[in-house]
Amino acid sequence: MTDAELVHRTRNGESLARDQLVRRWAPRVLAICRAKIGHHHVAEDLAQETLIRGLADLSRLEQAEKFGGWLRSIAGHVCTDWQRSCAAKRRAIIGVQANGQHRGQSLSGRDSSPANQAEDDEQRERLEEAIDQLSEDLREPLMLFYYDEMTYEEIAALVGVSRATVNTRLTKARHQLACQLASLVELKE
Amino acid sequence: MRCESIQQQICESPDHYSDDPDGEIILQHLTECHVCRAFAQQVRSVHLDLLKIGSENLDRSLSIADRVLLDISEMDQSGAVAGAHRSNRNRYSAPFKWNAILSCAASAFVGFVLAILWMRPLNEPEPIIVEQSLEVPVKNSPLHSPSGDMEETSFSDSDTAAHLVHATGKVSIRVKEDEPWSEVEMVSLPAFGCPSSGSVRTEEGVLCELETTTGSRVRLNESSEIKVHSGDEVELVRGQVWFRASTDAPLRVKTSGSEKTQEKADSDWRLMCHSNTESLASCAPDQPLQVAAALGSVDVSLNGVDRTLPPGTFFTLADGEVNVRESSQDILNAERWMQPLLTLAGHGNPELTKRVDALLAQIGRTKLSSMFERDLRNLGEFAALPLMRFVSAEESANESKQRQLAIRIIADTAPIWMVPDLIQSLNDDDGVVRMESARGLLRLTEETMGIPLEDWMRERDVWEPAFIRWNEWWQENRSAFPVSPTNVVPLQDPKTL
Repeated sequence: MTDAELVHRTRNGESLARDQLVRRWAPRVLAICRAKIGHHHVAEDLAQETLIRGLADLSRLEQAEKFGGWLRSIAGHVCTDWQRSCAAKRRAIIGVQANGQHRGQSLSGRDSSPANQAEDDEQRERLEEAIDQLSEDLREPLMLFYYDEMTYEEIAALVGVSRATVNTRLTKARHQLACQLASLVELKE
Repeated sequence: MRCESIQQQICESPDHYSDDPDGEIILQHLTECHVCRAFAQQVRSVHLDLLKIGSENLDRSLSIADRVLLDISEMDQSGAVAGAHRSNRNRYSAPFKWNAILSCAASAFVGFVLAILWMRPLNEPEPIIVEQSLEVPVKNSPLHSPSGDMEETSFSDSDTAAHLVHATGKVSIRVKEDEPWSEVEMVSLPAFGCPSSGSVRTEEGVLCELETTTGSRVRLNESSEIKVHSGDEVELVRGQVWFRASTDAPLRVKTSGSEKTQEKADSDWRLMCHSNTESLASCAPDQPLQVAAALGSVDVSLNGVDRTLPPGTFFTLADGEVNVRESSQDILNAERWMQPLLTLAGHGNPELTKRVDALLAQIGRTKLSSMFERDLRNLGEFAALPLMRFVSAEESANESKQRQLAIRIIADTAPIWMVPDLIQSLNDDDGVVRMESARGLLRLTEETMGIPLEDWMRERDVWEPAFIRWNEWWQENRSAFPVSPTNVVPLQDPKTL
């Protein structure tokens, strides 16, 4: 079912359609928020906020087929509001995260011995930091591609650029990440 | 081609650059240019890590969706959504509302735990320890009593319903519903029998496998719990569990999840796993109930209505809604957590071989190729033998890409007892297979027989003398190398080549 159909059905009070719409867009909105502000805990809160605002404002959406772009712009507003108003709070949250509260699964999939875990945490942290240093133009397609396995065509339609541009940006993003991480490894060695 | 354009193509398609029209040129360049080779490895590593992070975030986003829907439902119930739009907006706009709720819940939970710790009996029961004895039948093994004295088990032979077969850490058991949980020591695993109506649970990071008295196998993922009613009936309390019904008898599975999550699924939910079938089931308080038929069909009974799931099918029950979909690729993913248990069964385990073959078959066909490759690498030396059998099989001769990938993984992971297999592969018709075999041998023996790795990609007369030297070297040094594990023999002794 297309987004437009789901939007129409949601407006007609079909809760199943609403649920499907939310589940379909949650990973994408999370990717967008992550690309705009970095760091998961905050991005998750803002993604949740975006989805709730989107559902509440659904009656204002004039063209149902443009739901994705419209939700993306809401995510942009939510993130900008947060960046403006919570700069100090943001630093505090990031500090807490850096201390290990937000520990993902092992990147390498190895056993979780303390030594491996520490190494994986470090590896993950370096990658996250490298992602944060990308420009937003590169980060957004990267997040959408890896967070929700969106195709190049889907990303192009959502972001409003051509497929070739998506390809170029993803290629650049991988290139920059590889160079950045490689240089870190060399420095470390 | 210049390094810059090679690197560009690698970044453009980290999974499939070798399939590009210029794939051969790129591969050739990588054998010659160490800078680009290192760069390719770095890009691949970044790509794999991003896929891993992406898959974790997919789980997180589903949890966000659940929270949003829960929030909306609460508002629906209070009439907020149906009413004034502006007031909703104000209400929804409150930032981080869930953080506050979660903080309150966490505080309450911590208080509850502290209260339990404060009020627990001073004499905490000792873990149950089963004495290891080759002569004493398992089911008669004595258990330590809470007081530390030895006493007979509280269940008889006929009560035993299952035995623990493997575990990756300490497993907790409870003999009866009203008794405390106790940890089974690792050393006691082979001797531990679970009585009828006994419960078994795993903590975070621990997996285990049981065999019931009827021959069915049950595997528990981390943070899972089952109750074993009898040799042919198991209750899934929480978590994720895999079942293989024995060849002689079916296995009945019921869940207590539906009783504990009434608000989500007011349902009576049961499975009938027919003989020789494999299936997965998962249930958690805030997650949909899910069943997957992995091998053979499984019957699901929901509120008295039966339906048969064909192999490769997922059945999900969320908010009273049933969803059935087919995806054998997802089954392969869903079984990923069992890999550490498969390796505990040792080299040559047919199930391990089957999984390696299945992973290999998916590589190159799906977007998640990198994940499957990572699974193979995570199996380490346990995957090396089945991969080598694949490379050496006549049937795989036309699957060039798969063979090259397999030998690359082998070169990185093969154990020392695979040296003769690698020497044999130096004679392969494919240059990449020869070069990767030489790389694996270099890693294991620090020998090159005097030629650079790249030369193994060239014409036979360039590398054949080195191949002969490798065979001579093996004859001279074979006694210094460990023999392969029991029941594993080299595919063909190099001396016969």
